[in-house]
Amino acid sequence: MAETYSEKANEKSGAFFADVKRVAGFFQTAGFIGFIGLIAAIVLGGAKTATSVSGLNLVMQSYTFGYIFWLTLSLGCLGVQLLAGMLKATWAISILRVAEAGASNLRYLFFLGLPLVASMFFGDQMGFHLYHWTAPEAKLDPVLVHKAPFLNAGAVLARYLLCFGVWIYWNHYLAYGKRGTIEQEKTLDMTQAQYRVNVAAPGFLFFGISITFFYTDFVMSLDPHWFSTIYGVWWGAVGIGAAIALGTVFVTRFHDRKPMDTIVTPGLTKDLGNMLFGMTMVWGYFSVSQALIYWSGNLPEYIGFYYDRFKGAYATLGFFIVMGQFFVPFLILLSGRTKRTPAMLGAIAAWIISVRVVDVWYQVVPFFGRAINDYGAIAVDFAAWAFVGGVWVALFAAQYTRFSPVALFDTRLQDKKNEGAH
Amino acid sequence: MASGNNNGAPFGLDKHEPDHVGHDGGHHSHAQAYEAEQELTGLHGIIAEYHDPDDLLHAARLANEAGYTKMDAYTPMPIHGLAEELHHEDDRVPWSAFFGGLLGCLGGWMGQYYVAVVDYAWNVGGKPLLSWPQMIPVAYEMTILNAGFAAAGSMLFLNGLPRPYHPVFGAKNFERATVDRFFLCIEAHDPQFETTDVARFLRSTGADNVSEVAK
Repeated sequence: MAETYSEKANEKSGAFFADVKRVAGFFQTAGFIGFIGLIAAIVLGGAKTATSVSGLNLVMQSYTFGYIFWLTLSLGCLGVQLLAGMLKATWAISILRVAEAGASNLRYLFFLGLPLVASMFFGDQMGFHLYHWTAPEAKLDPVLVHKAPFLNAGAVLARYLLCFGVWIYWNHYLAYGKRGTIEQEKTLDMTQAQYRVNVAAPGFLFFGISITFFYTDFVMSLDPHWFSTIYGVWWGAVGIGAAIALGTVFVTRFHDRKPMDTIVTPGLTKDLGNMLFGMTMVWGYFSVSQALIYWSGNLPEYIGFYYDRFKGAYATLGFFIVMGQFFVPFLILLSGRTKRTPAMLGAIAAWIISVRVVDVWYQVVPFFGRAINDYGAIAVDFAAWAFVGGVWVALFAAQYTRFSPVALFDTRLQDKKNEGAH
Repeated sequence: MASGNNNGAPFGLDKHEPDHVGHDGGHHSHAQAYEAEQELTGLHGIIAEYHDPDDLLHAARLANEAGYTKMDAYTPMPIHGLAEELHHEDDRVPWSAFFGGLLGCLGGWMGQYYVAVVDYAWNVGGKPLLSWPQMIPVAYEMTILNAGFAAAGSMLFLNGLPRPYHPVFGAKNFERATVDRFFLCIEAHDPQFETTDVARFLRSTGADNVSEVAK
């Protein structure tokens, strides 16, 4: 049955899927080049860069950046899936297939994240510690000793298994399980939607908690002395914003192509534009609240994070991110014309995703204390980004092209379009 | 408004060639010309009453297709898509809100700058006098407040509110516009306006009632 369903979806969306696969092919090539780059960086041992770190250490740092970006995008997709499951909002249906396919990559990201977990266990054998709290010296630091019952490799692994287990289960339940949207398209049994609401509503609550634990373990603990309570939710806003932007790119890029043309109306692009506008505001709000509280307090244990990111050229990059991530999309999305014109909305959505790549780099890499003008190391960072991205996009495209890109279990968007036609 | 096109009319001197596009040919008698003037000056418009919002939306769409441009709708609740059908494309309120917000932001910022840097320069915790991150919340709130004031204020001003009386209040059954009826009024200053044509057109859209609205 799954085969006939996929064949049907493919038949209707052949040209559309061919485009998606072509872009995926481009990313796969970039990913392959990135992979070669990573191998070269390990072999050359970082000698070509200004850093004193070993090749493997540098590659692990870069890999952390690449992995965290694509994981954040997948978690954002899961967030959109949970929102769509609980809200019954029509805008969410238009980007749901993108969100489902993006979140389905979590099952592969589980394996891609294992090197980070392994580095917590085997830092001594590898000769460096990606996470300082795993080093033997941590036992001499009273703060880290105090944190050790929570922040230790075993506990991180346990939380890693729990978080990924639940995330993967939700993605499966909401999309591919017997109560999922795909199954509902075959059975057309409307009663299944209520089951998804019952799972997605508490799920979204747990989603917020689980990402807080995850980003605390894997990003915040890169500087184990620093802490921020809004950090996990900030990453959630980054991810959900990027996921909505990715969905918007699909909707607007193919708005006049089969089968996307059956759902795209000015009302829909306006809704998506307003969601992007809202997520831009959320990003600004979370970023400012964290910075403002630490600026006011001005306490040494808080400000290390910002001290690292305001040093020299890092401050310029930070200024660019505030402009690019907040003011540019904010001002452009204020206009109703942007939201009515698919090409303009798609361009701003693509811009949001691009700046988010830089933003994630600005979040993760300064933790490693590298000089910003270490261009060789930056090249390795983006080789790692391309490598994980190549894998991510290839798997995404494979999953996305299996099903109808326009959700058929809930046809309110199609109905609205038809209503406008007569 | 209609009277604006007919400044000479009250003097009653030149009724031979009314600048009224709705009439065909140039063979007007005095009586016909006088009637044309009455259409323009004596009527606010023709109003149609519907009991279903979808009927109203459909009628507005048909009126659009028929080429009418000066019309307004009156409904007890907002109806999605109606503003688009009526071609109410006026950007003045959004732009007022934008500039109001911008002024509020600058005002909030400058006010804090004056207090913290110029008038009462005080070292707080060793921070610079221009401690800009702490100025964000006030500047932000002033942006929102002033954008809100500008939006509401410009809306009232551009609508000519408060306005105790409007001709459409005299329309038949109009008290139900705030309860359960939906009205579409094609106004007399529409270039295509012609009383009998408009009334016939509105009846053809399935209106429950069609009536003239006096000025």
